Amino acid sequence: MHLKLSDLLLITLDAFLETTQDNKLKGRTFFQKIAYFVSQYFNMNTSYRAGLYGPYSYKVAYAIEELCTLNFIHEEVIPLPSGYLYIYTLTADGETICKELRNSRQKEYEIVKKIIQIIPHEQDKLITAAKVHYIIKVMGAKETDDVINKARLVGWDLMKNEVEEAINCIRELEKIKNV
Amino acid sequence: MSKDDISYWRFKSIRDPIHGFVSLTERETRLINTLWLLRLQRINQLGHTYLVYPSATHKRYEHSLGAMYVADQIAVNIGLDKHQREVVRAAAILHDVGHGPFSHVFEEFLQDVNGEDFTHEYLTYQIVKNDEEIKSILKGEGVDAEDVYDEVVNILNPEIESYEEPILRDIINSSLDCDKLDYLLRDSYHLGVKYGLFDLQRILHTITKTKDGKKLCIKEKGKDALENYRLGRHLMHAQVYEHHTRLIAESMFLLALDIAKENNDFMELFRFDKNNPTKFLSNYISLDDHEIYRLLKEIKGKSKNMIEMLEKRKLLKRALVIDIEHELRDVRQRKKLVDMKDKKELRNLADDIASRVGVEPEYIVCRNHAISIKLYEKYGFYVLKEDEHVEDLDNLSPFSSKVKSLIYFYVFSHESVKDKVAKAFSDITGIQITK
Repeated sequence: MHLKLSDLLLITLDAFLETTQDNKLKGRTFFQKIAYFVSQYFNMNTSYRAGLYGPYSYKVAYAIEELCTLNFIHEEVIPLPSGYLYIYTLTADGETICKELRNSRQKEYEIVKKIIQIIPHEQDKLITAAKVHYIIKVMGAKETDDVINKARLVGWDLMKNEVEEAINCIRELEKIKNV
Repeated sequence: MSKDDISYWRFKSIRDPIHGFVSLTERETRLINTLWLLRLQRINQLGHTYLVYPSATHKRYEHSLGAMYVADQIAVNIGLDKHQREVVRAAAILHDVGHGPFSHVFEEFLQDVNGEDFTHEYLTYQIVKNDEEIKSILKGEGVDAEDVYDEVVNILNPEIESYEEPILRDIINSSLDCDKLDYLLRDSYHLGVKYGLFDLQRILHTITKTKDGKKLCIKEKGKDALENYRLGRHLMHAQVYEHHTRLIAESMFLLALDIAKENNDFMELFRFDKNNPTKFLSNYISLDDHEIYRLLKEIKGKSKNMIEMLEKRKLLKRALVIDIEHELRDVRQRKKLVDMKDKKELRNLADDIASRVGVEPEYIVCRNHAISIKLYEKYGFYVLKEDEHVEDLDNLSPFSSKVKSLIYFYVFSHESVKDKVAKAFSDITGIQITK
């Protein structure tokens, strides 16, 4: 059966939370970027575009919003001196759905877990990896300098060493085959 | 004539209810008299909204002029040069030429036929790129003006992700573009509502660009005007653009189009061949609100009936509304209903309900509808702080909402069977309605 974006986001959150000690995904941007890598793998039509903080998809933003409204995901907003921190957890209803998805979407779960294992869990590095991936896959950059030049066209400043690090991560991701 | 000469920019002036006088160059005057632009005089800006707000009969044409005016104001305020101004003004005039009859609703039909990427923006790009008259005007042939063709085509091309001057594209398509800055005020004016009003002058006064010159943003002192603007946009959605009666009318129109799909001659008019766009475009140029009604009525039968019902304002009624978040306690039922977004699935459910309540299938329409409450725009709202650091407005805003979105499931039906619909729906889906 066709994989829905909302299900993929629930799987992604569930799989990510398994890797944490406090069962929390911290950061709206962070969630967007993990969803970026996962949705790219599954060829979802998520319409990611170059945003201020890397690739951004309003479709993913709306889907997360919808999952919060349905009480499958809980979003906690904590005010900070500069801005807000958004924390995502699964609600009891969300757990119920995820339990069913773990059975019906075993294969997808395994792939998402592998992606989460490979991508950086540090926000800045994750953003850079997403930017570099986007510039290579969407904007057709071929090598490091090309990535840096094309990044400037969409207002992103990237350093050579971080681009190279991101390319290594992307190569690892490319090794994931259907499990 | 030199661009330094004021009369270059004031070849013609047109009275506009929102912005006063909108002045045009000779090139722009020719553009607004092309068949593609004139066609927009016959396309309602707000589709079938006139069935709710009778004065919502303003057209895409005057909005295109208004968008050009606003685009120019932005260009001047962020210090673009005269060539860039010309480019962005022309792109703004043309930005909506791809719209079909009754505006956005027709896009849904075209996407059904030609795929999800077949948006009105894509069609705009195809028209501007391929129409010989528009091309010649943009190239400056026959008028004393520079060639802006390639730049305008590139700005309007949704397939190009990177553009050498992204700021120009931001003026045409971003959270703070000339389109929204015009239509909120224009729609409010014509409908007589106040929800979409905001301080345009303050926004134009504080609009600027990021340090690298690539993105539009607002100086920190203008963030309240920006907040006012996005709240206005949200309220217009809640009160006007997503009004349930409009939703019913648009659903009926879409159903008429859907039924007409069975007619091959009709379908052939709307199939787009990327390698030969001329065939599609030569039909599309004459397609307006009246013409599509005429075509649908020509196909005798159910499409015709549906259009005649719209003409007589015999609209389907809300037989069932489920606030999915609040009315469905059972987690699986909530998921089942919210996942029912696929058109075919919704149609099957409607057909099933129709057969149980004893009406023709076209008298039942099911629709899953979400209204986003959060005030984000697709690409965020950027505020330039005094230290030249750019921050998303969400991070500076004193407002937040616990409600993320409202998700409704509607069943619209013929008035005669309205009372039977809820039971049929429950029997089919197993979902018990508490209210």
